[in-house]
Amino acid sequence: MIAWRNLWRNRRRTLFTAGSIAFACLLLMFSRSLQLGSYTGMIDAATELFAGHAQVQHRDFLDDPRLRYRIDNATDLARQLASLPGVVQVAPRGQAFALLSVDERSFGAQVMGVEPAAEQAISTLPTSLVAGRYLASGDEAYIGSTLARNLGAAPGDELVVLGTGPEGGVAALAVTVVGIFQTGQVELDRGLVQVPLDTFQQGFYLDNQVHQLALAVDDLAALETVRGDVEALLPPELAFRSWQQLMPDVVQAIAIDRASNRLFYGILVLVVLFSIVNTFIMTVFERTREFGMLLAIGMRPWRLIGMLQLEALWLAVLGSVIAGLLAVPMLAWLSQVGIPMAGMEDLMGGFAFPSHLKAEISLVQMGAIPLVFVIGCQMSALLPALRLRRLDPVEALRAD
Amino acid sequence: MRTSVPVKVLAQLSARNLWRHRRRNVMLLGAIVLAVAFVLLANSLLRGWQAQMLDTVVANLTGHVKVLAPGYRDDPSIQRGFELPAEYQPDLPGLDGWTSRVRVPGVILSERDTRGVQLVGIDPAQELQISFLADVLLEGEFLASPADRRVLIGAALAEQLETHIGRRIVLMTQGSDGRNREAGYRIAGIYRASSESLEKVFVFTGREVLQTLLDSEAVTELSVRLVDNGQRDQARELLQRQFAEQEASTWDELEPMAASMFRFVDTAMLIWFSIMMAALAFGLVNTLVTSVMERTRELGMLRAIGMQPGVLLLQVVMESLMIVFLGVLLGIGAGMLAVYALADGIDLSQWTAGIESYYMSSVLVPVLLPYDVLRVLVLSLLFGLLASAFPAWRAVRVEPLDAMRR
Amino acid sequence: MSEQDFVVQCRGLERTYHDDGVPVHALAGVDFDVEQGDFVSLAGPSGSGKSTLLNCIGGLDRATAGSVTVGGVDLASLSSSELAELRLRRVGFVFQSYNLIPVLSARENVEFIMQLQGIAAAERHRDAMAMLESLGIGELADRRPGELSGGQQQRVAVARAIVSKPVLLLADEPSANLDSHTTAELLQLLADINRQRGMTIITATHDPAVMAFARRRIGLQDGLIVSDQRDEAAG
Repeated sequence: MIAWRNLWRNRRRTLFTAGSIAFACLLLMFSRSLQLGSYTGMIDAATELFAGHAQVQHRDFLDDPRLRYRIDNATDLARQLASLPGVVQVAPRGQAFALLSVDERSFGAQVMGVEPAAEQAISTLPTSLVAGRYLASGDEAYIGSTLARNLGAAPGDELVVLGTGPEGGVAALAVTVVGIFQTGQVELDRGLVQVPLDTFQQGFYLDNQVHQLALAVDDLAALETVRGDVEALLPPELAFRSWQQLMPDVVQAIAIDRASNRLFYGILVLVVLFSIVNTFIMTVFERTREFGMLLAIGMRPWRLIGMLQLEALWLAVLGSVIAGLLAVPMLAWLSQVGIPMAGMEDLMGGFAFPSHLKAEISLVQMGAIPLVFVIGCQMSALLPALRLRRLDPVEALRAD
Repeated sequence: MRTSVPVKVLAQLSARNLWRHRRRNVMLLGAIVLAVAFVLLANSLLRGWQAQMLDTVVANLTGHVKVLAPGYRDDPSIQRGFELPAEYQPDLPGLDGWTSRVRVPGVILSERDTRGVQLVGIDPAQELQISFLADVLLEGEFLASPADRRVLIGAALAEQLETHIGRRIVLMTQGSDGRNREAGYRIAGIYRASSESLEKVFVFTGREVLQTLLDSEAVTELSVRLVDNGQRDQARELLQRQFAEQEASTWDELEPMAASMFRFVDTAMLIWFSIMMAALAFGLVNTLVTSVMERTRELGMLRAIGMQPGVLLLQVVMESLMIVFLGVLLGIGAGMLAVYALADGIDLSQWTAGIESYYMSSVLVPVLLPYDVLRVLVLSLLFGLLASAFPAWRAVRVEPLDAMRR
Repeated sequence: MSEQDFVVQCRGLERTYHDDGVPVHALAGVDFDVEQGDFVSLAGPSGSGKSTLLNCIGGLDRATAGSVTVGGVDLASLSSSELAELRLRRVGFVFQSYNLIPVLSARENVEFIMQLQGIAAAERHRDAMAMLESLGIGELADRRPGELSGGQQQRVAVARAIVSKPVLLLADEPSANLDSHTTAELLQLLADINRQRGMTIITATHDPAVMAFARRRIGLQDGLIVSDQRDEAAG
């Protein structure tokens, strides 16, 4: 209680020091929450756009996506996977490179055979359409916007797909463009066309065979548990690929961001701690006389140090509480509504990004940030306080 | 008799006041040095990133300025090409190198597989002066002339196609009449570039060879590299005048994603600077105010013996500027040392897949611009001035009568 | 005697403070003149208004009613920066608690006021040293206030106050922090200055030793002059 009252003897200084703690604390809380939110947003957008949370593929398909690295008996495996706990959706996909032609124009692209219903449940690609509609069934095609422009294709146009079958023979499909999508992802917009899986399998001579089974799970944090269950089901030539394995660029972009931010936070905290040390140097200096008096009347030096430590604790708590009071309501609001990111897509290095950046409040982070300052304050106060051990009461009383 | 402002004695007074409380002022100085050094290091890393961004974009066949036919960007085909006058030679200030290319989408087929690629017909000698091809690791031979009938493909593509140097591949694309054409070529060399996506996208052959395949005399682009990025707008204007029918664009118009990231880095520098300075401000103002409050009686005495309030204000401002200036100088020194220590660059190769999206290369080399150092210096002093406003105001409010209080 | 011969003239001087809304009449109508070269002591108990009168004369405090004229200039007509100018050039102050600048040496403290006046370095240096030597503390010129005794500090303060040759020296309780021996020395010093340089001195004090040294003793009580005695033999 004495420590708390001491703080208010120099109200301005206490407020400034607590203010600097609150400022740094608030900044850290905000940027950590928005950072976490942006990572989640990036991961969600990337996994939901197309890849899924994980995929089952042939062992070699990830490094070298070839028609012959396929999954046999896909229907059964898909059913088994769908019944696993935690798995909410399974989407089978066949995939091959082919030459696409509309009239005289030709371009190369990935052709993907999909089940329209499953695809609509797992991917946002079906809703990214800018013209026409999504696939239903039969000889239909859903193509990327850049590809459509290059081919001069519009909904209703006939599209010829020419590829190589598994045995080296010519694989051919004639489909009608029913819809055009635009994702902002150059690779998809320029190089992907989807057709119904049946059509694809017929054209490429595949018999209930696919190249990937995209999975959606209910809890991304428990993905590794799902991996265990899935791997137990798989024959040796098939492998489970998490989104981290499918999209290492997203993982690494986050890692770079984390690393650079960590450095920035570290320096910021240090700068603030320097000024806290400063505050305590001033406090000790100004109260030398008072401390001398307390020593003269028989107080032990360690009790004085303890009192200063207590003041430091109150200071850190005060700063943190101010920061918390300001941060929590704003962050709670931001975690619901989010900051509109329209026009910011360019900044995300071509990663799929959500339209609103939502803050993500992590209780661990919210607790850890003030803790950093509490510990930092204790150390900052200790530095000048240790001088009190050698304080001579007579000298101190004479100090001006 | 005019009352002069005794700047020298005020400076002396400020310096001695700072020295008198050296323990706390050393702490303050430490905070300033740390913040400034970090800001400078961050600045030069960001500048290094910008330089890489620019290098990457310019070298990836964009150049600083490019001339394209109207409509080519929407429909990149040989029909959207234009003819270059024979013996054309651009006359631009600050020209570093230039080339014309034929660039069309096409398909490459090996015996094993097929891929969609960009077919680029080049003049090898000119190309080597301006694009990333100058920096690739090449296995085999480079193209010899614009009439060289062989191709150059990327290592990643070669792997996908399961093909090798000396083997034949087939290129297929749409000719000037809109019909598909195809022809077989032998692989002269396989290049390994800084990023796999370049290797997978670009297939090079002689410019005249590709023109023959397409049955056209046209080129699709004229790309210009400049010595200095700052000259790009001027170069664009000149090229636009020369090619009135075509469209001249700078790299930032052609690659808006890279351009907005480039601009964002500029903003990021200022944001980091502001946050660091704001964090510093609390400590600085706190210390300065304490310094003023401790000296209330002294300041009152100065007022009583006839010092003008403005002179008092000047003294506090000087005290602030003095410590900030010293801190900034030391900070700049420390920042420069840090930049020097990292002069070989920071190895980012553990994040290969991620850095490509940020237009980075595997080693980030800090770039220290004199302009940035000057900016840090000037802005920091401005900040010191700003931070002294409140304490100076407190000092001015001291009444001469305060000298009498006990 | 013409008007100009009076260094200080107070007419109907009143000063009222408001302490929590209650008006306190520190000065309740004071009329007095001080001649050039006089040595005046203002005496009276705490709260009698002597410090306030001194502050009003020095232009540190402003009158609520009435007027103060110093060297023929009505202080009420001066702006605060003109008042500062007046204090700088025509009035010297000696404070109860010396009030030296702790980070400057004795000589630098004395020079400081001359620096404010814009006097050239060589002249400043010479005058300051001469002043310190004439006050008997020349050998202490390079010490800082913290390294000097109370009496020595007060001598430096006197040196600072008179080095710029003001017409008027105001001293508020100059002996309050000094022992009797040092007080006697200081008073002798002030008397010498008064006599040799013809400098007008006004002190506010309740120290009988100081009063005894003044040629004119003015008694104050409750903001009014209650006595005014002249003793030509004193000083």
